[in-house]
Amino acid sequence: MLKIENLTKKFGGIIAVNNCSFEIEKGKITALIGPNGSGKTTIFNLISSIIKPDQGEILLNNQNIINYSIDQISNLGISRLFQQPRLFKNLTVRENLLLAIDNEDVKLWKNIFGLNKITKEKQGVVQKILEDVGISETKNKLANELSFGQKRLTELARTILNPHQLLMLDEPVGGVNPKIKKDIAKFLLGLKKQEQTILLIEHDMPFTFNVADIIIVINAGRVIAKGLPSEIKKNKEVLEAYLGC
Amino acid sequence: MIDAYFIHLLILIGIYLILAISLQLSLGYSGLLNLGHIAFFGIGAYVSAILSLSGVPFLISILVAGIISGFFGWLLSLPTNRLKGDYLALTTLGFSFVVYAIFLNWVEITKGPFGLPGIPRPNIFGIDFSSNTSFLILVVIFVLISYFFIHRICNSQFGKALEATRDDELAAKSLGKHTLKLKSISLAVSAFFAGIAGCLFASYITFIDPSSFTFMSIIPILLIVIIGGLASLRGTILATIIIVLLPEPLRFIGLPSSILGPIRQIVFALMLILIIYFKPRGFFGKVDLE
Repeated sequence: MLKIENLTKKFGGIIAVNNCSFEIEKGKITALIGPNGSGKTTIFNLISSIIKPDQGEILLNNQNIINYSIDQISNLGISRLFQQPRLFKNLTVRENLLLAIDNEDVKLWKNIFGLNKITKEKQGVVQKILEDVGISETKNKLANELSFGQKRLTELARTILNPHQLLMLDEPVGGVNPKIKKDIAKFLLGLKKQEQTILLIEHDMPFTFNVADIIIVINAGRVIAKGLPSEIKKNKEVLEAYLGC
Repeated sequence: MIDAYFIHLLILIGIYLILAISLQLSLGYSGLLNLGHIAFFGIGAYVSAILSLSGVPFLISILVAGIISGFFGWLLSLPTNRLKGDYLALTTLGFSFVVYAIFLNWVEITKGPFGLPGIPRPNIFGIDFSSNTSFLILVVIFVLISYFFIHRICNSQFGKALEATRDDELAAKSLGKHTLKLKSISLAVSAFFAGIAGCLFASYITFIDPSSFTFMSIIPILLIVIIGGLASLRGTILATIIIVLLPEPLRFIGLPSSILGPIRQIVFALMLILIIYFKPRGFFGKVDLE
């Protein structure tokens, strides 16, 4: 579904992504793991078009998406959860989620004349996802009044509501408590059953090995291993580069 | 006498209110630190004055004034869309200087520092609005129309998308929002209503010159938006009434006009300091001043 070919990105003299190539399959959860600074988030930023590569190609269903803008990438169906919370802090949880459902909100006249209504169907979609992630009681709270864990769950819900064919989740359980971590794992396993395609970055190894189908290990901007979680656990190069043993 | 003075104040409140709620759309809801708003007010005033003096009916003048101001708002958004904070403020402030310089130097059209006298009061379908009382009714109608549209925009999903762009533009883009388009529309609509206010101002005063549109004129409008609270239309209404009425008692102290002007500026400055210190979100603000 998504193919990265010979992707390279330099920041001054530092090579963040070095001739990196890999492919992710439809309906699977693929995890990118690697030490801090290995280039995982840079790869996410390149796919999301926040930064442009120095060379290489990114193909979504065989279509090169290098020259697309951030909003066009989203509209192609790539929905991203950021590493740091990026909620619209002065809007309520409900308003944050409603914005993800479609892009009818950018049409001025349709909105002035009340033709873009918040239908019962939309309200139902928001209510359901909030119940699924277990924070329906926060619906009318402002985003900046939420705890860190609630923010993470709201953002996860917003990322899922954004129409997508590929979900990119950057450290979804980073900094959350064990209860929420367990809830998110359960939720992702539920998405896996629905055959959703997910690309995941995570440092929590038990969590990653629990949810991922395929693991790609990145070190110094390059892919050093790819395989099933059971294979990666035994890979000597991975153990040396990442796990330090 | 008191009635005439009271009506004059109500007219000023109405014109300032249209100007302030239109700035609230671009500044409070969209997060665009737009210091060039007074230029759109001036463009609206000059366009309508020139048209009215040429015999064009008032309703066409006011509509064209709004459209041309809105067009310049959209034009200004093109180079400034990627700018934020101080850079955007400086660029829009620069725009207001350029527009002021054009008012002052394009003598063939604007009559430069001599201004345009004798702007006719409106006459719509035979109804004459030359008395201040009838003009007040006209201003109230335009206030209601402007408030209706801006309130409608701000409370629709379009307004929420603007607020999302203000809070976190990257996150809004990542949800597929064309944020540059959103900001352009916001600035154009904001400028359109500033142009409408400019037209009402020109036809009320019946004389305009560049001194009414200096960059300093943005200060009371900015003050209204900050004191009322960012992203709050009802706060803007309250703040407009206060800011227009607050310096009025100074008139009755009997001070010479050379002292009255600076004292008025001191009152505004004090008000701003007190509000930022004791109530940083203004009366009903939803958003912090950042």
